[in-house]
Amino acid sequence: MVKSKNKKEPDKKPIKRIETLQKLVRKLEAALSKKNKFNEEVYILSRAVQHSPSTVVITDKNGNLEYVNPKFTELTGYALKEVKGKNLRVLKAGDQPPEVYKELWEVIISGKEWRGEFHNKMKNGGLYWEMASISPITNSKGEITHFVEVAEDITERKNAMTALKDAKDELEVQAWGLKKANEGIKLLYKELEQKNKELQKIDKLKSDFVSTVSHELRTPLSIIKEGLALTLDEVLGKINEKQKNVLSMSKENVDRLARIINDLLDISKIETGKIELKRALVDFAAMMRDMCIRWKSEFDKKGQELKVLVPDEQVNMYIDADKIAQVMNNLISNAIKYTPEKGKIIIELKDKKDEVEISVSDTGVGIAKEDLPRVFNKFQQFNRAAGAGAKGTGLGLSIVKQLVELHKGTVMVESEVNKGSEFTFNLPKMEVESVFREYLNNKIKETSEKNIPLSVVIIRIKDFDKLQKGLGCDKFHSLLKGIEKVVAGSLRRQADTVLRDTGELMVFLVDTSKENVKVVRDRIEKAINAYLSENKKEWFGKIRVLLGNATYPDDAITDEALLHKARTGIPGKGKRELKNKKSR
Amino acid sequence: MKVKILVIDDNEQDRKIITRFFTKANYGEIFTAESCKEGIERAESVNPDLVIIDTMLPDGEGFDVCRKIREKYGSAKPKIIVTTGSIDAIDAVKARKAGADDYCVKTSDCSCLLKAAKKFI
Repeated sequence: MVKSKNKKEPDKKPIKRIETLQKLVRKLEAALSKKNKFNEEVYILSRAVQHSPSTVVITDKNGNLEYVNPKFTELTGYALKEVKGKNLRVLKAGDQPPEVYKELWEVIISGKEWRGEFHNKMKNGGLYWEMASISPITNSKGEITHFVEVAEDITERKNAMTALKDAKDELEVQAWGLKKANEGIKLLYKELEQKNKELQKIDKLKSDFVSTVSHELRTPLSIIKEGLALTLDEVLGKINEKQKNVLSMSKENVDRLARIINDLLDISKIETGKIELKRALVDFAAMMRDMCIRWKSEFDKKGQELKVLVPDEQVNMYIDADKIAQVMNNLISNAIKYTPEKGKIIIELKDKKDEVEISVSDTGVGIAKEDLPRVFNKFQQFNRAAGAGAKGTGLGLSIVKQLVELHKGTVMVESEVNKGSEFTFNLPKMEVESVFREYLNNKIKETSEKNIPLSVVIIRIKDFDKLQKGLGCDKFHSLLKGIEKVVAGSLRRQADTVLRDTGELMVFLVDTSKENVKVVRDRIEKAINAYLSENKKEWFGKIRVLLGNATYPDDAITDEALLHKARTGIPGKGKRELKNKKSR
Repeated sequence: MKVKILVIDDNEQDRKIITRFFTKANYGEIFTAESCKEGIERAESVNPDLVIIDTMLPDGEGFDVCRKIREKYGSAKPKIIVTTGSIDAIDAVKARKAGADDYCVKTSDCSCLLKAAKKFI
């Protein structure tokens, strides 16, 4: 039965065994494939570590080296076999504090990753910086068996940063130095300014002193002079020759003393700014010709030849004629004095575009080269033998310089001993407007010091250019002069000044307030109106006059603003125009 | 607080001015020296809180004294001010690099030095 049973039911055991075997084979295959895969992974991982651009180091749990990758060898010079079994400590550069290593150890022992920088030493002694990450490796039981360190060489970055920091520190120090120097200079400047102020004060005291003393000397001097003159002229009785000689000498010296005092007064006035220019339109060429004529007799006395090179045309300029005459007189008298008889003196005026150049040259004794820089200083008289005539004061050229500079000009000298000297000065041609402004500025200074108001009235001839063309220059000038006279006549105070411009008149009313200026203006207006209508000449009928006014400090405090205010105050067409009526 | 100030300057006038102003400002004791050598010795014996050093001294530059004091005593004490009559940015930098805390111009009222000193002590 069993057999038959066996026959009927085939024995299934072998099949089962095969199946089991097959299962095992499959499992084995799977395991094998898993292992292959694992090997492959290990291989890839090891290749990755081998070719890593970072250094990779594996140590045992005590920090003894078990593996280093080729990058490590490349960087440090240590091959694996050289360092295997040695402690990682061999790499220490030795300049980092021990706390760094202590902290590192504590972190990794606790199973965590440590990151930080190491300063290490290569095999050849060279140093390098690395940025490292160190982590523990644990076994299946969680025990630390190894440590792996992956690091990157950051020496270059570190050096660059150090260089950058050094540069930054250096810059900071430099900036600090500049700041300190700047502060110091400011302080020094302040101190200098203070000293300068004190010096100016002393200088002013000196000038004031000179001025006062000179004034005080003048009166007794003129009494002495008078007495001498009376005695010399024998008004008080006859005197003998000897007495006459002595008294003449006394008189000559008293005259000299008087000149010195006058010059000193001039200088102190200029130095304290008490002199102000009264510029007016002057034909400089004509003025020079006149002066040369006046000096002619002096030249003739010494038999000196005078050559005058002055253009025939008008050279119209805004200058203070009195002051420039003083300059010329000083230069000419010097030339005569220091030029021997039969010598030659040339006076020349050159009309240049923006300036006029005047020179006085002589064939006199000249000035030594070393003395030239001091020629314009006060009380400088060099050992040049003066010719006959009055003795100088030593102040003449100093006054020349100051007066020329007051005109915003320059003066210079060229000279050669025994050949002669040439003094040249130039005066800039000033625009009408700047003359106006300079004038106004002086007035503002004057009145603001006294703390009184200053009003200006501007009178403008309407369509000035057209009128001038139509009427011609001469007629027009006489018209302007006429108006100027009328305006001056209508002013009550002496300080009030009229400046004649080519198309405008300006009236300065010192100590006239904003309220009062309108009264004055109306009075001027009426006077001009009357003048124009009284005059029978028919072309006067074409003239219109416009007026404007402004007051310091009420309307403006600068010259420019004040002029602007006065001019914009001039009303437009029709309004306030002074029409000249044929009959009153 | 009474402090000790050491002034190293070969110019008698300057020493007097500095001494007068610092005494007036109630700064305590003022010691003086006229050369680099004397300055360094005085610094040792006096142990000052503030040292004021002139840039130009007969036996060397003030910067050297400054550097020597710094090397010896470190950067905390004394405070050092380098001072000069002729201000110069390059000198200021030199002073800073030598370890000075400030660089001051000498004025007749000592304002720069007093201001700097006030900052330190």
